[in-house]
Amino acid sequence: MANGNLVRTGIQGLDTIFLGGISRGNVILVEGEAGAGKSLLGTEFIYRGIVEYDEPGIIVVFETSPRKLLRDTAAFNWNLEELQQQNRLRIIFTTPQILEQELRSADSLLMETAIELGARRIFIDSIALLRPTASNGNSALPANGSGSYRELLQQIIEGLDREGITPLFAHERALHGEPAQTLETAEFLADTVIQLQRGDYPAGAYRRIEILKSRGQGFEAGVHTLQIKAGQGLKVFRRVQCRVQATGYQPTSTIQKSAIGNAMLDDLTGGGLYEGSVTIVTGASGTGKSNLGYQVLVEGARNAGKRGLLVTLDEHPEQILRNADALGLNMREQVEAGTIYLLHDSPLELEVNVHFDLIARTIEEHQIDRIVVDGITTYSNAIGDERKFREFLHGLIAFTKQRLMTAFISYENPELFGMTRFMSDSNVTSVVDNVILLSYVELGNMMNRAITVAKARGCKHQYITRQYRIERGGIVLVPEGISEISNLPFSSYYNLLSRAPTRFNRNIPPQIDD
Amino acid sequence: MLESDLEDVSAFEIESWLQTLGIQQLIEWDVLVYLYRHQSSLINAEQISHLLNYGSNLIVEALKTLESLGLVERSRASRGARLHRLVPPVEPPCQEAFERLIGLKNAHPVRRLLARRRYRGNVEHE
Repeated sequence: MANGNLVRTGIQGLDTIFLGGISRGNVILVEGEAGAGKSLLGTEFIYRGIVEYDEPGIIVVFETSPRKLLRDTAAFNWNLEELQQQNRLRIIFTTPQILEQELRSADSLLMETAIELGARRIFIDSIALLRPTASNGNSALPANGSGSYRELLQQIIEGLDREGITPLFAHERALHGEPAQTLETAEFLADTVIQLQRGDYPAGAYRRIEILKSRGQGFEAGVHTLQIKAGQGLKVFRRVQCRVQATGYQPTSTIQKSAIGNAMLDDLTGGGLYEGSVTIVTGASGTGKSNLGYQVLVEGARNAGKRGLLVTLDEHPEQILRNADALGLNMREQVEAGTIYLLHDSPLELEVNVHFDLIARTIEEHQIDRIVVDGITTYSNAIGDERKFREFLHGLIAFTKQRLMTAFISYENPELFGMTRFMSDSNVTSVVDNVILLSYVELGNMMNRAITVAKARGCKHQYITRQYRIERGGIVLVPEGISEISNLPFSSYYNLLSRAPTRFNRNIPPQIDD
Repeated sequence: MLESDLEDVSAFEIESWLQTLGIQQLIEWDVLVYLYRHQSSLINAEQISHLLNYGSNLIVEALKTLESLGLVERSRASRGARLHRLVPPVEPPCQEAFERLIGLKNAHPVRRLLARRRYRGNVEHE
């Protein structure tokens, strides 16, 4: 659809879910309970129309004092008073009865004002208060015909359409009685219906926005996050979903590259991991998952010119840099050079759509090539909803694959020794390309660390469990044939990944399948 | 908008500002404040009278007075309703007088002064 046929709301993120804007000529209805943000959305629709698209507008209020409206919108740095003085905006206080008379009349003062202003948009807050003058205030509204609310709305819509004015009506959300009846009528007559919701966390509130319908165009269906940003206004965060259409082109890399510059580790993976692949690194706490992630980023930035992003809910950036320094990785240098970025968000009341938007914008703005998510377990707890967690993870994986980014995602295995199951609550292993297991192995009275590549798509990886150490520089594989325990290497044991590693009989050489 | 602190404003100053604007009656002040708060109002005198608890005839008179003072703009009548718009003065000394009065954090001194004037007027009349 050509842009000239779209009315842009100018509200951050809202035009995105309308795929560019709302079809011109559509009657827009915004509904929601008290405090959901209807008045703010309507006011911003008018404000943005004036300052960004040079479309003068009118705001009609019945109950809110216009002076309070001016006061409250000043908090968003919107100078509505100035716009009125410039004759680009008119805030009109009136009564439902007068408005109804005016909008039915061909020579109404309201229309005269609209013409004088050159108004292209109007916001009426709220049409739930309108009543046909023919109706008796004590009896129910007729459903149809003369004196009905439907007829009234049709006349209003007709009048505004004649003048080429895009109307946005607010209506309270009601489930019973007359308001529910008028809402149903308004929903039917409106071409675009936006529903706002307000809910409560245990210690906070959230807002949601959903497009129920919009005639003549497509839109992003589903419930998106809505926030009120101080100093700005409303912002819509698209819900986490795959940005790539199923039939769209999915780029695939054929380049195998060293992820952390370690030849022995690359051998385990059959020569390195494919660029653009997604790797899950799983292991108990302390096995070195974060360390591996730091190495991936530093190696990429320092030696391969790859910009990196570390995303975490667990640790503050300064702590991450301290830990990396302790390993001798000097990630700080890369952060200061702008080749590695650290993104930390709080897991408390995590708004997953907002968080995903932050990750996506950071990736796009800084052209990130490698991403490390450390650790995905905290996301599962923070999001609290298995389906939403899965959606988030799938969405993130799809986003990184579409950009051919190399991704490492760490997952904390709750089992200290051995691994009987792996990410059974999220069912994502089928969509990741590589799975690396980091384990503790107790041999004698020493805790050793073991690394196994359980899966590496498209790579001829080794099915061998190797011992590794964490020392300055990060993860280092212990060369084959060397061990700190009784001079016996890992290859002298079986069941290394179980809770009971067992030494092979010395008299019988171990048999290893190719 | 000049904010006037209650403690710093004397009755003499308030009287002076009201005189500068030409406002003599409490109802004129109340209607002026109503229009200031409601910006453009598409409304009839009867509805203003319901909101301000004055007789509609008195509201009509007050609106005419404010219009003659140049403080209010009224459109033609449309089925009994008019579009009323406050026109803040832009020239001194009226501009300062208006901003001082409207900017008062507490409007009671203004209303009290005008109410007393009405009382005195009633007493003299008697």
